[in-house]
Amino acid sequence: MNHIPYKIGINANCFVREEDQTYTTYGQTQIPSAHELEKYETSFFITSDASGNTSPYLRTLPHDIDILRNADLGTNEVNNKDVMRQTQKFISVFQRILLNNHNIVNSFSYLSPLNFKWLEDDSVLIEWIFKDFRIGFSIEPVEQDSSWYLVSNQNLEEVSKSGLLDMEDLEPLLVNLLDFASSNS
Amino acid sequence: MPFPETKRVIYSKNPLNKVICQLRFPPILRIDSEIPSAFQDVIIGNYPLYNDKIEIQQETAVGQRAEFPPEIIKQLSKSSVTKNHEFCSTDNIYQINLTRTFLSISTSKYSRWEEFMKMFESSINALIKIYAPPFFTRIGLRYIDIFERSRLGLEDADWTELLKPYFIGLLSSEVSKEIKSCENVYEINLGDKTSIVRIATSFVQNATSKEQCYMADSDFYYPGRTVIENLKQKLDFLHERATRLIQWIITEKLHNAMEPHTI
Repeated sequence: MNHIPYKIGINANCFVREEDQTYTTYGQTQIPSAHELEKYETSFFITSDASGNTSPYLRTLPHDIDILRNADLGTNEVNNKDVMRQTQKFISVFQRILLNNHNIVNSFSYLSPLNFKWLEDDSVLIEWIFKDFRIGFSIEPVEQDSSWYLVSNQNLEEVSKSGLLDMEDLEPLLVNLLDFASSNS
Repeated sequence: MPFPETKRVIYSKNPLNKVICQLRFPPILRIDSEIPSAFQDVIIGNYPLYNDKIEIQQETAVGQRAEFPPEIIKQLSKSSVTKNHEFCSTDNIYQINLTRTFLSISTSKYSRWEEFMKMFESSINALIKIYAPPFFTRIGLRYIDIFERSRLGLEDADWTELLKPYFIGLLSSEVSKEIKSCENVYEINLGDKTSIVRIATSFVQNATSKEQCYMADSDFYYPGRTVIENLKQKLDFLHERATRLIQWIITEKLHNAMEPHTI
């Protein structure tokens, strides 16, 4: 009889291959081993400092995911420079999140563009409008006053959420909002 | 090979927007659970500023996704909550990042390899002495070049006058002026049977001036285990290939505009 190079793993629905200790499954869930993760990490990851620091350059995104196609990042002559800088940072982080989350982005049937409104009090209102809900970001001259909101109509049970916008930690909020938008658009 | 051997030069007006060198290692939990004060003691001379950050979602190679099982992609793509200790030079030009799985150096003002490595040396020594990683799992050296024509006095030049046609593809054709966006990714073996360079090119826009620029993001990496003793040799190999690549993709006109000096 042929030797089967597997023994039952600690998880009830997986086998461990004796040769290299990697897991294989017969059930629904595959649990990658440390060895597998290391192997995939080395090919999958890009050399990075993972700091989230932004660049003064913005990617030109493909049209189907370019939510910045109507972006107005302000002008030196007219707009508050601090708000412009914060807006550029916000956009830069948003772009990176779009590029890093193809799986979420690909699930949208249509990605509406962000709308920019520069207001007289030197703030900028950035709105992302969908059929049943809208998401807004208000970037203020005093950074700590910047905020966000999400409101929906009756089709989505009139959700109403809001909070302050932490410019140093935008990523979790934007990923969650992107996730919400993809699930409900 | 690949990329022909070339004389090394230093450009006075180099197009480098950012250079990153990252050394990945198996997770060292102590980096997450303790304040890295001993590490800071060693590097504080060059890096007196400190930020306690959270590691952001690791950038991933989009083209690779199809090759991996979804469970692994999910695990690798999930947002991390691990600490990212950031140490900066006084002028914020150089930056060291330390997390439980990697040590990196990055700079927004790269001038030459020897200086870059000198700024990294103390951190590598501190990592080895204090945390003793058994080996490195991935060694990466990434050069992000952004060609901004106005910086070089080349506002009126077409891309085809500045970058070699085999590198810019359709941008060198008659439809060039109609191209609104472009994005290419190449993965090229570096000839030692293991190392690879992943080159991503695209248009980018200067957020302030709105000028259209061209980005060549070249990630040279060794995707295997490396013992500490062989680290320098691997890094020198990757750096030499990077030197060859930049000179292989630019035209003489751009080469001269960047003001080269032979070393």
